[in-house]
Order: sequence, then structure tokens, then C-alpha cells
Amino acid sequence: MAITVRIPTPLQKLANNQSDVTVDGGTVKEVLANLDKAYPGFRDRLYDEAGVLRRFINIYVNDEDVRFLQGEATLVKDGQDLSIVPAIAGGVA
Amino acid sequence: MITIDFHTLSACIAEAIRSYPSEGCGFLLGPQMGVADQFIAVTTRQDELHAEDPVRFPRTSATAYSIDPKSQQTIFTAAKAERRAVTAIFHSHPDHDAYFSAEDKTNAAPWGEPLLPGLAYLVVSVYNGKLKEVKQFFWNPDTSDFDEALVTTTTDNP
Repeated sequence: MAITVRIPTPLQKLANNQSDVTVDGGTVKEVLANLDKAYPGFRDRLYDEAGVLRRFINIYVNDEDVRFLQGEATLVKDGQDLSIVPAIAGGVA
Repeated sequence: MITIDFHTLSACIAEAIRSYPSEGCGFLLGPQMGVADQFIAVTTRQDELHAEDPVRFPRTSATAYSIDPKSQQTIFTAAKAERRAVTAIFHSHPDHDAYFSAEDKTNAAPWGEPLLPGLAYLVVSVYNGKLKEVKQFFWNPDTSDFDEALVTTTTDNP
């Protein structure tokens, strides 16, 4: 499955300054793993030390937040977009 | 650092008061970077995240905000189409001063550099439902940290 991955600005340097790249994968997890294989460094930015997606990282398949689907097990289809959207968030100390 | 139209600043303050005792949030837009003449309030999904996973998201909207990513994408896409610039992120601190907290910094520069290069952060402090202070913060590449700046407006009178 060829999936277009939309990359946020601060991480585009990992992908040769591209805003989107195409990688293979049948699930969100596979796509992100293949993204790191093609462009090393994504795994460290997207996952914590325990191998869990960092809490401020939102992954969308087309317009759906995978948090409310099957998470990283969410299936992806040929031609779909996967967007990495860091949360705009914060709060008091 | 941005200069904010007085009425836009007033709209931010009104949203901070309306949202109290929760944190309010939104975007400021302008004709170019460094200028804000429009405010768009957006929904925080902090309580939704907390309800879904209180371990990973221990804070409620009383002490944190998280902008709905769909709203975020919609606003950035519309701004680009209209040749406008998203120039600042607004949020409020209920019953806390207008500082840029460690939580704010961690989220604004999650990988040691700004998530949204060039954008300022406007923080409005509200105590007991009343305005206390407004400050803006912007990324300083020399120190790799956020600096505080005064908020300046382009209109003298409300």
C-alpha cells in the first residue's frame, strides 16, 4: 500500500525538507516504521522510550484521528493520506 | 513578537473570561507575520482526552488546553487560501499568572525547536473571572528558549 505521509514543519528536515513523502504499509504502525527506515530519526521523535507514541503526537488517516479508530493498528489503504499532527497544547505549571 | 489590533486583543480577553474556570484557546491571524487583526476561538479537547485516558492526560481543561487538530488544520488551510497568516496562538491561565510554563514550552518546542516557527504565544491571566494580565512570548533562536515581550496594540481607544 502506497501511503502519502504529511510531515509537520519541524520534522521535514528528516525527510530532505519534503512536506510529504510516500511510503508503504498496511497499518499505521507499518507506515511509521517504514517512514523511519526511509528517513531515519522519525522513530525517536514520534515515540517515547517505552515505544509508545508521544502523547502530543496525533496521527490522522485522511480526516480521522486514529486515537478514535484502532490506534496504530488502524488499517490504511492505497492512496490514503497519513498526517502527523503535533498537538498545539499547553497549560499552567 | 506581534502587534495586536485593540479589538482583537479585546476578543482574546473576552474569550479568556468566557472560558473561565477552564483554559480558553484560539488563533490570531493577520495580513503578515508579526501582526494580528483577527481572533478565532477554537475548542479545546483537553477534557475529552482526559476522559479517554486519564493516565496519559492527567490534566483537565482547568489546567491545560489542547487545540482540536481538525480546527487547527481548517484554520491554517483557510488562512493560506486567503493569503492570511496565522501569527499567534492564544490560551488563558485561569487563576494563574500570564507566564509561559514548562508545559507550554514543552508543547511549543517539543523537539528543541519551535513547532510553529515565527508564531507568538499570547497568554491571558484570569483570576476569579477577571482579567489580570496579558503577555506574549516568542522563540529566541539565540537562547533556544521563549522570551517574554510586552503586548502592543495598534489602536489607542477601545
